[in-house]
Amino acid sequence: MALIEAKRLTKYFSAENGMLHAVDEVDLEIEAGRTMGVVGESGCGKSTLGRVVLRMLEPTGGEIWFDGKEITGLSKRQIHRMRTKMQMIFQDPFSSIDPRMTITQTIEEPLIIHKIVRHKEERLKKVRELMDLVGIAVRYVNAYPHELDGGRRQRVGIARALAVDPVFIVCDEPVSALDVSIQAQILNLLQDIQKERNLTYMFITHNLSVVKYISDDICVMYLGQVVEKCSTEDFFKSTLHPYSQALLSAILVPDLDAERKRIILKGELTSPINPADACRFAPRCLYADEECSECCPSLRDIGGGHFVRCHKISKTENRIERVQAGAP
Amino acid sequence: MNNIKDNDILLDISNLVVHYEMDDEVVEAVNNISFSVRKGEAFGIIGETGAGKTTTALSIMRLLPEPRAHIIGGTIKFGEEDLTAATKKQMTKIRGRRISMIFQDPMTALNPVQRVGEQIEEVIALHNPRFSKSEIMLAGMEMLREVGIPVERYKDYPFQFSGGMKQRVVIAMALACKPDMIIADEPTTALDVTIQAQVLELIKELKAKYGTAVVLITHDFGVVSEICDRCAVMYGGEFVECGTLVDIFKNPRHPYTRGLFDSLPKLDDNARLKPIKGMMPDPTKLPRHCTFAERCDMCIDICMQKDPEETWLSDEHRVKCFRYMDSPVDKAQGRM
Repeated sequence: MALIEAKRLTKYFSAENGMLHAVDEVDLEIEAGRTMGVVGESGCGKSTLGRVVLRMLEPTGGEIWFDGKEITGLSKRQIHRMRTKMQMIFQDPFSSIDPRMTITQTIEEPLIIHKIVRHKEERLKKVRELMDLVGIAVRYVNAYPHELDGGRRQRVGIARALAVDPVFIVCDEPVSALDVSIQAQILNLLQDIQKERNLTYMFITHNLSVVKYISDDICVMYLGQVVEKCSTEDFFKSTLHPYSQALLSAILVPDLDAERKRIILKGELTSPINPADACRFAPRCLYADEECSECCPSLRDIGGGHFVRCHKISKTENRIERVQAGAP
Repeated sequence: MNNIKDNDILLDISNLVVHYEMDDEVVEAVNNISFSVRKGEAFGIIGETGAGKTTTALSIMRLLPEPRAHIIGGTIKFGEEDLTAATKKQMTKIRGRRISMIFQDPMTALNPVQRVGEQIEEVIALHNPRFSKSEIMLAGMEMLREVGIPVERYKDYPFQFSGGMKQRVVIAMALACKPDMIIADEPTTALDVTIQAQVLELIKELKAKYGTAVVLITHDFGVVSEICDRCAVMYGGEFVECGTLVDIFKNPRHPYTRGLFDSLPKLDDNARLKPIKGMMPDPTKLPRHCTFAERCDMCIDICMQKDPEETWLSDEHRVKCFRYMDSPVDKAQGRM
């Protein structure tokens, strides 16, 4: 059974000229101990999705299930209690921790709030353990965030999230603000902790190389909708959606011999405000025709746990046919 | 110092040293770097935060925040002139007309309360005082078209553009006077991947069309492999390795260069990442021995005692490491 399940999860924001469809009827399941990579460009709703799943934002519609229990209707107090199970690691290690709290205070705060360790001595012991786990030297116990570099701050953010012993963590672009050599350190750390504690991750990122490294499954979002969802292996072997293909081809591989058949998308993201009933990717799609502007395709199961939202993918049998029409 | 002897060298920097003087300490941002860029060539400078990449770029443009920052030594020859000795007036003539710069963040590089067309015109008018108003406007519109923005948007304000479009406007401004060289400081870092692909494509096209030399500053080997002919890896204010793309990508000799490659998740291989341990030394307290020694897996006694000299491995390829011979010729990348 999936640890986390989102059913038709929806979050709209009211904007000046209508409703902004940040997350639009997203169906998602994350099995315990696995990592679901959520991929997409800025404005596709991936961060909002992460926040809604944790109920840091109230969903407009749909359901969230955690460990076989629906949590959509839980009261604030009940959700507060759930926070020991579900945590978040934020993108920007510079703004996500309080500049006026020492490292110890930052990491022990959740232990105090959730009344997990009441004795000060024990709490400090636990903080040391956590610092040790995430690789921050003991000499930083009384340091302030400004004394730490980005990589260490992100480690503090991770330690703080781990303090309450969660089973599920939403990682929102945890390495995109970091330099590559540090990024690799943090990715390895997240992986080690996952193995050690059997954690479940929802890993939000725009970087496909990172997602390939860390995720078991991938879901690609475009303007609030999931356009493709499958195992990581499938995704890199036989991605089907034209948008996913363009994303894949846009990765800059630091390899001189790499084949460079780049699909350059025309235009940019269209507006997520009151989108019409049509394929949202159609205006930028190389394969789009009238059908695509007539109605929005549904997210279709094409077998083997592979879901895709596109009119142009063969509907016959279980065979997957590459989109042909108008191929470049 | 430099082995390149061709006549078509456009920019020739030798032994550049730049320091920032803070209240009670000195930041040694750029330490004795030398390189040259030929006409029409793209030269990449790769490095992590704090390596000195942007300081190098600002020194060429003479836009360092003086008096706090000083060019302590070295020369920056651009054509016949030494830019380190140029007066303000001379620099104004060079900037925008002969060298221009594309900054990382297109959101802050544009004036938010001025129409984009006017901002492009400003550059053209400044360097073409004889142009009539309509000539300036025509040139401005031509530039906008050149970067793929419909002319109808000439009178729009920056906030009406998305990030990718703003960066296109910035590129239009940079190329408006057909400079000999542009310095692009992380031009696509703030952009989404599909937009990054568009903008890189545009830079490549325009570079080919106008024969503009490019100095590209980035932290991303992918971007370098896309555009550059040669590149340098910068660390602690120094070029630790410099060469053609083939030298750097297929035969990296410096442990830092290899470490950077090993830190990148790869699409064709899920092996555990091998991060470089530790972090870059504090630029106010750079060691007098090899700057990378503390983080290096190949560090031996001499590395902690002396600063290695640059060793030329070929006409283009040079490395600053005592143990360059010992770097495994493996396939560091397996990409031969």
